[in-house]
Amino acid sequence: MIGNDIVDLACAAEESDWQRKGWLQKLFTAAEEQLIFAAQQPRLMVWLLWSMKEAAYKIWNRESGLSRLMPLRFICTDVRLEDNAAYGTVVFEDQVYPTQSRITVDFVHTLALEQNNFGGMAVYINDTAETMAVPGYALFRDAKGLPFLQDKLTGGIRVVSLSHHGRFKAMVFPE
Amino acid sequence: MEQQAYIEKLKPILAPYAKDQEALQHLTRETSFIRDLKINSANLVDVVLDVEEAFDVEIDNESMEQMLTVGAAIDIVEAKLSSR
Repeated sequence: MIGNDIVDLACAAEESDWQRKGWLQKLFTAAEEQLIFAAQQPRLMVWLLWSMKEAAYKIWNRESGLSRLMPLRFICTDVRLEDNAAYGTVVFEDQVYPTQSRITVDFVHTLALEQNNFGGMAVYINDTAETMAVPGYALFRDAKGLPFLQDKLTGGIRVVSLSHHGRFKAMVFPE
Repeated sequence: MEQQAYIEKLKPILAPYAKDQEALQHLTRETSFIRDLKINSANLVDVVLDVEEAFDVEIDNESMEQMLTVGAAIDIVEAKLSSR
């Protein structure tokens, strides 16, 4: 299973005050807060960690069929931040989700997987109003509202993970 | 406090974050913060903090896990208020 999350950094700055009293404590563990305050750009680290948690949560949410607000239980570890990318692991109970993030001045996008197989994933990101489309495939949702891609020729079905925030939409699926 | 009174008190709390104002006007116990009101997930924590302030309660992490609908929010606040 795959999960992805995109954060529009301009939109996040407008919608959320990460320095609001009590806000960080409801989202991040003490160790994660240390990462935030030790970072060169604390605000960027906030959204990187948040997108990691969200991407991993989306895997859990899709597999369990449950919805919960429990960001503190999705724990970011081994976070390695580079100029335009970040790598890490999110741990939830006995599940371990490797993550890979792309960072630009405009957005942070994180992809979480159950196994380290990032090379096998197609990632589409766009900032237009158009609906995302993959040539040769039809996007549909099942009875639970979960998205899938169907090959128009063979009828073959594959899982797809969608996310959107502010100006950006993202789509990830196994190639 | 009556259910409707809770709903009326929650409405202005949810208003700044709700992207679907139509759904906000027709708030019921079943209204989902994400699916119906289209509240951005990062703002759910702001909703929790605002509810804590408005009702003068402390919402622990375990209760917060369930706080994804109007009804769940009301039940959590009621439980906290009655336990003191």
